[in-house]
Amino acid sequence: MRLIVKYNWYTISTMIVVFILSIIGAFFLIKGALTRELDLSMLRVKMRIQRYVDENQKLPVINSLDDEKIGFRKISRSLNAEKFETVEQYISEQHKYHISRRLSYSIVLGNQPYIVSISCPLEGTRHMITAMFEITIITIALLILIILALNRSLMKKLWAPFYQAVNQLNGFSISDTNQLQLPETDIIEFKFLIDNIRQTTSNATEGYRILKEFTENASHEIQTPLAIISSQLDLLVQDQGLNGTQSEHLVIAYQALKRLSKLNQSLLLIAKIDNQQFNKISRIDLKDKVTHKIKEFNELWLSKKIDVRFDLSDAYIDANPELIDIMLNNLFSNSCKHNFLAGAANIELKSGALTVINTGKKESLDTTQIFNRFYKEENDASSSGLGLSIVKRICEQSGIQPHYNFCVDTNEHQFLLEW
Amino acid sequence: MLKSINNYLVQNHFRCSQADNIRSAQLYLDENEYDCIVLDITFPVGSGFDIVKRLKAAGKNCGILIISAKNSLDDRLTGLELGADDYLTKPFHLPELAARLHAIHRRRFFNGNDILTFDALTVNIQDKYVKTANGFVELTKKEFDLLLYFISNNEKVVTKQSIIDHLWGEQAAMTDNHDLIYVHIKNLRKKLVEKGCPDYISGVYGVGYRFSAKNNYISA
Repeated sequence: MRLIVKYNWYTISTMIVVFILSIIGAFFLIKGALTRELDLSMLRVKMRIQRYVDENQKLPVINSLDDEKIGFRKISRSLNAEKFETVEQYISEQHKYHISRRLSYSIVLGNQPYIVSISCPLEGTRHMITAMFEITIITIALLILIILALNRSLMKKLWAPFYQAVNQLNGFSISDTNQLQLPETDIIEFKFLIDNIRQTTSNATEGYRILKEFTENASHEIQTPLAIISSQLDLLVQDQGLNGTQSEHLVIAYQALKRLSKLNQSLLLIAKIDNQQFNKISRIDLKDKVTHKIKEFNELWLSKKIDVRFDLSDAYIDANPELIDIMLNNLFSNSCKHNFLAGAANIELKSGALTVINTGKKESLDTTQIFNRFYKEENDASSSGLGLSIVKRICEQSGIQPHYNFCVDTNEHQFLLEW
Repeated sequence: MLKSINNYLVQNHFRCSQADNIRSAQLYLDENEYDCIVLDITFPVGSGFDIVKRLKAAGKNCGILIISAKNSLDDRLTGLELGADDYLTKPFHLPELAARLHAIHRRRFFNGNDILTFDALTVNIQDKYVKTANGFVELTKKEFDLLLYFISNNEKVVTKQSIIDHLWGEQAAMTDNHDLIYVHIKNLRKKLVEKGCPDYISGVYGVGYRFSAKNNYISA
């Protein structure tokens, strides 16, 4: 439920209750006032009758044209009090009953007590109440309409900063160094919200920046000791007294060193991509680039006797040339590394799509994890598990969608990039 | 690091001075003339770039090779724009460093036009041909690079990995296939021997190869 609907629901229902209560209150007050007015006029009639009786010593003639009906009735003994009451009376002219107000009291004329009843119809109050109901209903309806319209436009205006802030937050990316363009407002609640958003997002970005910086620094720091180990090994290997076993140890140390420095470089590369350090974008002629890459890789494929076919047509992409280069390197080298001897590879380039297909392991890779960091097939010690993760990062950065498919019939692994 | 570089280069018949900070480096540079300096710009205090600038301002004709832990294109470009001759990212192989220094030296002092002679070989770097007393040796580009790399590190053991890194550069990371260089080495060996050269290349226990004109190394 939207806030404005909820808000309207509350205000309007409260309003209706208050109006109904006020109508009821008004009804009784007005009725009371009218009755009192009627009672007073009847008392005036009573005084007139009294004066007439005092002066003429006889009962007055009743004028039937008046609204008040006055009646005299002989009684055995006089009452000592006057009495107002509301009664239902038959009005002969209209042939129907009407609520009337009656005053009855007694007078004494020549030792004969009479009861005098003065009655007056309460016709006016009924009409008054109907009118009041009509007025109230109309007022309520109008008020509701006005409030709805007002709330709607007010909400739109007053809540604008809220929606702006939320929209900004929606587009917030922790790796984006651009600050959020949050709206300025003088509404305390929204100010509070916006200040908090600003604080939280800048904390998050700062934290992320520190983390990235740490990764990058750590990787850089690791480079120097790696270089030291490497140079020490290079010196050690010069020793002419080395025997076979010692050399074997050295080879293993070299291999581990190579892996470690490759791993470190990959991590550094990912950190750099995350750090938006490859944001120089230019239009790349992919056909040219892929042709060039194929030439570079030819020897690698040849060494494994892999049959490489390619079908290239013109394709362009707006991206960072360095990243595209790395991406192609990773894809092509995978097609070689994870291929078997005398396997096949197929590279197809169309406008907006690049496909690299290669034969390889006879089962599909885990499609949910294939692009994750450090994902690798079991017993594959030579791979760092970062290659495809880097490809994915580059794709994200360059607006490319990477897909992986495995064709069971031909044992072919297919990587499709679309942009 | 400094020591091992010095050690290797001295073994490789370079004459070296070492400085472990900017100030002593500056002193050395003011007092002596060097053919080439190897500059590590990893250290935060007093960027090595300042030394490059100062050398260029002083108009010294001295090759500069920058070593950095940062493999960023920007740093590389800054270095090269300032007038450095080459840029090497850590970690690197010492034979690679030696090869690069030789290359810088050749470029600087012979305009790359020099004829390199090694034992019975004559190597023209500019025109990329190799000659022996028996005529030209037809080499592929990779074989030529390989030969040059060996000559730059003659009598030293160069590991297979360093050869791969040297020949394939960036793509070296793409392969762990050491057989790849085996083919090139075999071919180079064969071609040289065919033209009457002694077999300069000897394997070293699976670690790498040694290129030497002296025949006193036992091939393993």
